[in-house]
Amino acid sequence: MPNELIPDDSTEITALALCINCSEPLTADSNFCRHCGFAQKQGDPAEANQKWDDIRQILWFFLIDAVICCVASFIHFFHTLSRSIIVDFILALVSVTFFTLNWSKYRPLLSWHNFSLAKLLGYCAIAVAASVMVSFFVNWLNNSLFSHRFSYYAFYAPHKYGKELAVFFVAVMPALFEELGYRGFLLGKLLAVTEQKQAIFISAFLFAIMHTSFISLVWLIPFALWQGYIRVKQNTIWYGVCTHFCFNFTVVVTEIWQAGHHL
Amino acid sequence: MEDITPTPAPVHSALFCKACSAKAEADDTFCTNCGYPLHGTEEEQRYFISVRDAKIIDLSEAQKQIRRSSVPLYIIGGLTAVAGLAIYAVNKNEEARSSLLITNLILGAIFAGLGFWCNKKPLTAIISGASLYALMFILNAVLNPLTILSGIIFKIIIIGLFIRGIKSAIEAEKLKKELNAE
Repeated sequence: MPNELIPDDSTEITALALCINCSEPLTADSNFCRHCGFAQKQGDPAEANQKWDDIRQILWFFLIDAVICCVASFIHFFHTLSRSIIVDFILALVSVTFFTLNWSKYRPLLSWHNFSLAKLLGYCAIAVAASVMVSFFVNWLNNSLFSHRFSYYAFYAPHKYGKELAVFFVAVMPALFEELGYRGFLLGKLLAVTEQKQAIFISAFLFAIMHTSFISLVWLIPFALWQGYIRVKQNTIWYGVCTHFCFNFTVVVTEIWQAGHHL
Repeated sequence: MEDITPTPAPVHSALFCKACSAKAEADDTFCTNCGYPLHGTEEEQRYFISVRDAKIIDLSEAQKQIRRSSVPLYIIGGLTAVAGLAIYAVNKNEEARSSLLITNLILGAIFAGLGFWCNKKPLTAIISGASLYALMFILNAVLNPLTILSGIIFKIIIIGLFIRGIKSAIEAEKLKKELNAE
């Protein structure tokens, strides 16, 4: 229990702080009403139950995504374009479903009232710079550790519209639906359960491990922390969608450019 | 003869809460820091103290449960690291066994780190650890469905401890809020 004495100048009564039970004016730092003794920060049992329900929803979302991602990544049957597209749409559907289950709560995240072009360009420039650095780091890592190159584009390249498909399924879809799922639904739920920094960390950690690529954690965790920070600071998912798109788009363009040079 | 009996020193106890020692104004009916009935009857004051003590005991119990939740994180971390060493010893493929050893050792370190962090930020550490464990479980099940059944009792116990840990962390947070303790 805190034993700090209340300084004299803090006892000034402000008109804004009123007891939630008897409306008696309170000092700003009052935990209990001086008049009726009512706790101003209630440890409501319903709130604890709500938190548990929120955590259950978080875990269901994560488990469903985890099963789909693991199946799609590690079962050879899904390594064709048409099946991979089906998987991408199922993942998108999961994000949309969980988001719309909490539609009234999270709908404001879809608005973009505080739009600022300068801010958007700034964020996107950082995302592009980070993506270029990551691309070179990954190339170096793949060449020196595994002696082979990994490319998202290589999967789509044999098809007639390979470039367009790669941009759509590597840059557009994840930017939209991962942001909707992880920074929209998941982070929103976590913010209701725990404090802001912890919520951002958990959402970043879950987002990173969901990619089931061990080395990717090195850049996915910082990237997702940054995305979470933007989402919380700006209270919209759209800055995150744009930065996520820029990050992934840069990766795809780099890969297409490298493929062109190697051919 | 002048009376030299010393005058008793002024008693300031009314200005400080007996329950939490926070400063109180003379006309405060309740302590604004802990809710103690400053001008209540002896019975009311005793009741307040007993309720508060009961909450402190509940909080201590919840914190004990949270500490227990760090145990499965340490166990999983240890087992993952040991499994990595075993694979390294058995597997003949040099590249595969080295990468599996490194992966398992880093995963073991992540679990151990989360276990350590459990004392400071229990909810974050348990949710992160449980999610990573669930992902490993799913990944192994996808690669080899028979792993779902192997060590099933152990897995159920681990998941049960995680669930209890999350519930205890929520309970502890609620009690801390009620007790105004951070």
